[in-house]
Amino acid sequence: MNQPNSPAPLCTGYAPWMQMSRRECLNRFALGLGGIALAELLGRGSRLVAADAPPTAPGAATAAALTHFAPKAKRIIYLFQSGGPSQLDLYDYKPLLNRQHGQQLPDSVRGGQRLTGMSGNQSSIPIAGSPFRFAQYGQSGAWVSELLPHTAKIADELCIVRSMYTEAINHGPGVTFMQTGSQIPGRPSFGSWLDYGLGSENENLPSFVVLLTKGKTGQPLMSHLWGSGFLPARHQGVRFRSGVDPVLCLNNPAGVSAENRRLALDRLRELHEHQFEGTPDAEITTRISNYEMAFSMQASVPEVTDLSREPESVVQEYGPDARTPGTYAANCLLARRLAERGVRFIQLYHQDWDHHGSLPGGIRRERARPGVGGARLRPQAPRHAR
Amino acid sequence: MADDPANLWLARGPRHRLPAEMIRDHALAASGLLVERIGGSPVPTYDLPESFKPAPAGKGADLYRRSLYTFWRRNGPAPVLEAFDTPNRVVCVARRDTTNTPLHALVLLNGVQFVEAARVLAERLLHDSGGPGGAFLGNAFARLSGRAADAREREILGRMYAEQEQHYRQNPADAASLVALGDTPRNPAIDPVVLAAATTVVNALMNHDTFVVKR
Repeated sequence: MNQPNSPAPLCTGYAPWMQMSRRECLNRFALGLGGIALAELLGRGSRLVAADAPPTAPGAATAAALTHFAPKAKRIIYLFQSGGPSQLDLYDYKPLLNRQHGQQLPDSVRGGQRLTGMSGNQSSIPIAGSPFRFAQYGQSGAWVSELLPHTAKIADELCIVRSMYTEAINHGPGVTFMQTGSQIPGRPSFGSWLDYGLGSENENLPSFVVLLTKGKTGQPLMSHLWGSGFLPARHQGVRFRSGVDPVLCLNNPAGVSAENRRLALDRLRELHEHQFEGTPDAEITTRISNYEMAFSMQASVPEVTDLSREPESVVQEYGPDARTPGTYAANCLLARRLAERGVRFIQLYHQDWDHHGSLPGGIRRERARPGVGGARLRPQAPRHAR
Repeated sequence: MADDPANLWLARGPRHRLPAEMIRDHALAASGLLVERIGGSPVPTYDLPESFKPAPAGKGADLYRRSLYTFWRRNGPAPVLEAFDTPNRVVCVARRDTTNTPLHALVLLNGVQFVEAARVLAERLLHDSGGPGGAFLGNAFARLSGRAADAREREILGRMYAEQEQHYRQNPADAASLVALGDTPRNPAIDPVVLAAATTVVNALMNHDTFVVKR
């Protein structure tokens, strides 16, 4: 691919040096995600190229040639609010709804769309405006409702996309689409693609970790949402548990010390090395390295999940729940600790946003949970960024 | 070429990691814990409290049935089986994945099902071999791998057993904890220090390539 001789203007049609239009570029690189992967692959050996990196840095020229903006993202923390918080009551200010509150929904809006089982037997379908007050915040003037006071403070750090939708009428296929790009289970999830494309940055931890808020009801979450689909299964998300063992069977059985385990693993390694001499199969060398990784994880996973080592000031920013394992606040804090240690993709699910008729009460309850909205996660990130 | 010009001695078969159920059943069968009763309701296992929809752990004979009978809740298979790539039955799969990840190591080294099976097999072999000397290590290897150990393997295993016995001799409380794991009571006639060391060796062999891969 040719280098640009002069900077190409943004938002034009076909760009000759790129050999594609902007629209094609966005499509091809999956709105930036693929671009991150590609830049990483091309710039291997260097870290992702920061915007202010000198142009001579390895990979910088290539990355700049492929995307308009040099990719800066190193890790992703994906906060999924399962059940679907009402955007009309949080970010998407709709004054017309308030003006027409109580009137029947015009046919021109519904356009003959079928109704769900939840609303199909309603005798009338009135327009409902939001009962919450909206105001504009930050230099961007983003509209945020009174339900999200913490989020409103970081309005200028947010990118709000209002054009996302799915074609599903129920939660299951909709959530599956959001996580895998297809309503039908079987495609690789967001994080497993990243793991497949980029690999791990930390040899002591998995690169795709999934955290669920504990003890929530609401829409069920299925493990295919963080599954690897048709990719090899090692790319699936590793779901940390909120109990004693964050990873299945992480702890040694009673009566086995770390030193003694090390001793036994050293002998097992000798057996495997001997086995490899007679049977030169790469699976055996993988097995040897897996036992080393497992031993490392036994030390690294408890360290990263032990929130008691966080200073009280940090914990307070996430709210009092942050000390209780499995709460959303604790998971937000844990996500930050995982990101600091180089885990590339951390997926949080917070359930119970499926409010329907009980919305005004339900949405107040959920947003009141400390840490909800992730606003407390965000201000922490720059301070600890590497 | 000179010895076998017609390739009469040449043979090959596919080699692959055993599927989840076979790994668990292999441990149960090798240890003699397997309950061979056919049919009946699904049974809860040790790992169900860890599953996606937690349920109480099983007890007694239920713990030693073939994995075919392991309780399965909709798309949440038992965690130990899931760790070894059991499909979750959300979609039809034409071929199972066979992964090789660190999570397997943790299950085989630390899972109660496998530690207990190792201890029960160690008890049997110690009884049959008349103690940890003599034929014990060779029998353990043959029982779990399906072939005889060579001289180098016997040497490594001998060193391993000696180190473990020395360790547990110095930490008798640890030995007592290790051999107490699982629902099956231990054989009180065997010195817990010897049993703990033998258990560690047998469990290591359950983590060996020859135990989980068909070659």
